[in-house]
Amino acid sequence: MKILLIIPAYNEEENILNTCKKIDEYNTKAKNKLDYVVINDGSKDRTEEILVKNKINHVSLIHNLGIGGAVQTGYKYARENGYDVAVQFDGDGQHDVEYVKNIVEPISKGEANMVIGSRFIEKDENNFKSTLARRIGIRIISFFIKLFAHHKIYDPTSGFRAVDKDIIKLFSEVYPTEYPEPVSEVSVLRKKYKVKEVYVKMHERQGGKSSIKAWKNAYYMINVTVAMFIESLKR
Amino acid sequence: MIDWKIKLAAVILLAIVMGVITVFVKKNKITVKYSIIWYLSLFVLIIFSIFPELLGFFTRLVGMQLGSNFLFVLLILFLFFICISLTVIVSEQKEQIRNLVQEISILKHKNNKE
Repeated sequence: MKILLIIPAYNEEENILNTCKKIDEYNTKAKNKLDYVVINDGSKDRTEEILVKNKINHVSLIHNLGIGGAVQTGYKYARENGYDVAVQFDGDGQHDVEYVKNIVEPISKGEANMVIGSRFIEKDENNFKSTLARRIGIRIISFFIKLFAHHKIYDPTSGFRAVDKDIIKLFSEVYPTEYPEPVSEVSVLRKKYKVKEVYVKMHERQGGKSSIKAWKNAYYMINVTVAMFIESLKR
Repeated sequence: MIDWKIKLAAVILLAIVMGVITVFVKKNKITVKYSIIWYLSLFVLIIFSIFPELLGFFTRLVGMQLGSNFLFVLLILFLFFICISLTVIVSEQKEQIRNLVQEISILKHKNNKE
């Protein structure tokens, strides 16, 4: 099975090399090797320089597109190169490559079309679960997904996810550019695909800044909710 | 009677706007498709300027007292429609640009590899 890790990167000079090194390290001992592609979303720092110097497989967007557009580029790349599974993987060190096999497993067994790496389905005090405000936000989003798409997702904003060939095709054609994580879940669920959650451990960001600065305010919540609602109206 | 003066002024003004739009279309700065909505709006306004009785008729028809109020409502509706169609166009183009950026970037990557 050909697996591709899609690593979107925007101004990730501090983390990107480390992330890729860890995957290379993993590949030296793993049976099922993981290909990866970094999508450099028009970074303004030294990200591009680092990618070129270390000969890391990457696509450089000629214009900044935002997280949704960057990730979709990865899905297009996966489709063109005939990958069976695409895994979204953060370039900032939050995700652990050791868990990739766990989230790919339900797909290879044919149990799910999309698997979300979730922090909240097992009680684990050591796992990084972010701030209280964020957790409340996640609860609310989770509630609305259940309402709009009739399926409980415990960690809807998790960017650590694997999809099969059908969904690679779907996402390379249409992918929500605004609030892509929760909205894409609603879209996939409404199309009757099977979504499964698998426990993963996440780390705190190693450095740099998160792309979601809007988290704190209610504005984000309203936007996400409207976006999910509209998505649930599509057919 | 100053009525004809106002009529003339209104028609001339609207004709100038129409001329400006035509010039833009000729210079390919506005596509024909998007000029239609402007022509249509201007045409209705010109008709109302030449035949104010029509304006009175429609005003009474919708139960309004003043012709000017009816005209304002009509104008706001036109502008609404134009704004919405502009939003649609911008969103479409955003989508197209995103697609182009993605495809070109992937192509460039392929090129570099070979």
